[in-house]
Amino acid sequence: MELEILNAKNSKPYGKVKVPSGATPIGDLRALIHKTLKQTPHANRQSLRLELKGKSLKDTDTLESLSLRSGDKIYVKDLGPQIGWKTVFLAEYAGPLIVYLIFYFRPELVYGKAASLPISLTTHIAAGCYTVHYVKRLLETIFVHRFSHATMPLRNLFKNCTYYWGFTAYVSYHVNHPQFTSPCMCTVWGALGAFALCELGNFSVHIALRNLRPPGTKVRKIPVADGNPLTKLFDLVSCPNYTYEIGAWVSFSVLTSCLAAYLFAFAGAFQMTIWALAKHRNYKKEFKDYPRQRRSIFPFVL
Amino acid sequence: MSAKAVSKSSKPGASKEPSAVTKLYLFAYNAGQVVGWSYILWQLVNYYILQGPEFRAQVTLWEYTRLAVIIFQNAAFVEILNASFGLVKSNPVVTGFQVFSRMMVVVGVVMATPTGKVSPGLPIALLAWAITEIIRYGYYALNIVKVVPHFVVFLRYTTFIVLYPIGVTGELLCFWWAQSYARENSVWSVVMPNKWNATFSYFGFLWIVMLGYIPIFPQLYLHMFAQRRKILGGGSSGSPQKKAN
Repeated sequence: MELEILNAKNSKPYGKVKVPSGATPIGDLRALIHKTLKQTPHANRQSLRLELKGKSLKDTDTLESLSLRSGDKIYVKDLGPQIGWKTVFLAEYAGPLIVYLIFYFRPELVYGKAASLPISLTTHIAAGCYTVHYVKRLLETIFVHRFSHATMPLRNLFKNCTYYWGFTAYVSYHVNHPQFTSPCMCTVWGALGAFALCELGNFSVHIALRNLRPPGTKVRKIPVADGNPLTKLFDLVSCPNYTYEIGAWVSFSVLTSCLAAYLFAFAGAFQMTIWALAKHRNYKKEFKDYPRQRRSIFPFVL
Repeated sequence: MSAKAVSKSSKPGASKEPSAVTKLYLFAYNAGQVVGWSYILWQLVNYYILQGPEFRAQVTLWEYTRLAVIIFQNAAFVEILNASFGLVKSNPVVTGFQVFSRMMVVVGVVMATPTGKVSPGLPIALLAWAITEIIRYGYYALNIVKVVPHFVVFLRYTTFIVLYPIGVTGELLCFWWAQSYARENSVWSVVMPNKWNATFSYFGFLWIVMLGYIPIFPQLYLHMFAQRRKILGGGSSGSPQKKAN
């Protein structure tokens, strides 16, 4: 099979590519295109589509499944410089640790002379929570998560780091402030318990999602609760990892009684709700027997 | 900043014509603004030219003009609603930004700080705004009744070249005069300790707004030049052609 490869920007032809068989997946085709036609973008930067402004083809689609024949055209769009997902995640999560702890361990750098005032127990607890959360994320990135796309645009590195590091500085400034006012200790201990529960829940769901698909396979399955009772939330929502994540940040906000933390919780909840609604929609489309009682992210609500 | 996306009535033959009530409302609003800004312009002329220095010593410009400015500048808020509900074709976000930057000067600077009230930027901004708004609202009102003399179109797409930079200069001078007062007096600010462990620095906010002019004003200014080329035809040096909007 021979395919004509064109530039999605101006429809100019790059040339032709010989493909050994119709069973070739798009992921392999991208590598073959760059190997054959050196002036095309590197495989990771390519987005292939059947029409000039068509949808990006999935790496797992095969030429057969797309009904491609000899002489058909493939458009290549250059996605720009790419960076590994794992690299982005590690940068996103290491930054908050460093930024937060600057405010916590070196307050004189931020608050000047006022920094000599004693720090409340709540501030210590909050620093512990923040550290545990982001260390957990770093470890999950290294040992737990698998990424369906290997790379993302380099631009995302700066966007994501600005969001995480910026919000950390904002929250940290207020929680570690010399004139921080703690809520009553019963609120603090209660919120700490809720935070711990949500962190464990989030971790449990991540483990369950990872175990859903053994390494190297592409089989798609409906995620369900495993033996861990914290994964029972799968019975109620499609994305319990997001539910627990939001719960953790709301708990942290209650624990610190900090407006900046509430804003961060709200911003994260907004974004995760969008992702959850999209994922929920995809699940229902993909699995005809998908459990009807499930909501996307908030049990019984949304 | 006083750039605004063009608000156009439907062209003859367009599939959708606004209802008579809508047109009456839009005409009344635009005509009212012409009257209002004409009055403000008259106040400026009276204050600086017709009256003597002893009058100016007794009453500040802001005291003299504030009621009219507050009414007619803040009334522009309805333009966000007009755009949001589709009564006019402007983009609601762009309109919202433009209206709020003006309201920010009136409410957030001049009304909020005593130094903003006596800033030399205030008469500069008010002069630029008044002339621009009389032309702009006049243009919109005449569009609704579909009687737009060429010289009004020409003014609409030419006077901004001089007036927008003058207006922005006045606005930024007002901000500059206000920011030092805001810092020293914690105007409209929140400090710790408090129950929500929150802070807000109005001084910092003013600076963010001022710095925001740098990326945003050029875009709006150049947008108006693009409109000018589209409506008035070739370069300004050539003879401008008449064009239905």
